[in-house]
Amino acid sequence: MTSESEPEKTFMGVDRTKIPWWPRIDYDRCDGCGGEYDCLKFCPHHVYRPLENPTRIEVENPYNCVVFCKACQKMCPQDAISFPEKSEILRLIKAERARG
Amino acid sequence: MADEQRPGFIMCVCTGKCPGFEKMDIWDFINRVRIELPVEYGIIHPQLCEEDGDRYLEHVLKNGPPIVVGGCAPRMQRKLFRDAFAKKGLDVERDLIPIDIRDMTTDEAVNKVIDVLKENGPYDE
Repeated sequence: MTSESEPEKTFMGVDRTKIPWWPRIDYDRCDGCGGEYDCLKFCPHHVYRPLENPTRIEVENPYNCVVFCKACQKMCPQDAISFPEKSEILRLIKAERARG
Repeated sequence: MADEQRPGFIMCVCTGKCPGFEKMDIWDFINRVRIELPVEYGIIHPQLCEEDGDRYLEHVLKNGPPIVVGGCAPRMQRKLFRDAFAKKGLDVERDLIPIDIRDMTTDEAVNKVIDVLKENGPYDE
């Protein structure tokens, strides 16, 4: 089920594009679930794009990713998805907000 | 639904930034659910799948009524809340009633909750 509208532009009062939160793919592990692309099917926010020959996944819209959501990481059968440290992202958010 | 069986209702809104809930007024929705429908309570949680969401679920699950979560797809909910339920000796397949209410109007979402409540036990109009 997908939504066409743009995601909100801020998170915790900070411009979303200033928050480096999106999934990182370990291409030694990612095999695109043999063409099933579980993460692509799982994430309703159009973060991912499927690649072929060989099948694997790519982050197409990093800022569509919901900050601190790791749902796809829990779904990935190959443990190929990781996210930044929450504490580090929180530090950046606070610093960005302080900059005003 | 007799009082002791009434489920608790939690709406999960994916930080409130998810476009999946833009077609509805989440406040109209939760007010109708908690006031009009036979539920023990109705609340909105911003991100149940995050650490504080786990802690909240563990806290709420201590008291025992079945939990209805209106939010993302049931498959996602079962995967995301499995650990919090298991920690309380509960099973998401049995003790969680997940409903996908994304991309719905307020009326559509309320009607879907009514249908699911009816499917899961006696329902007092």
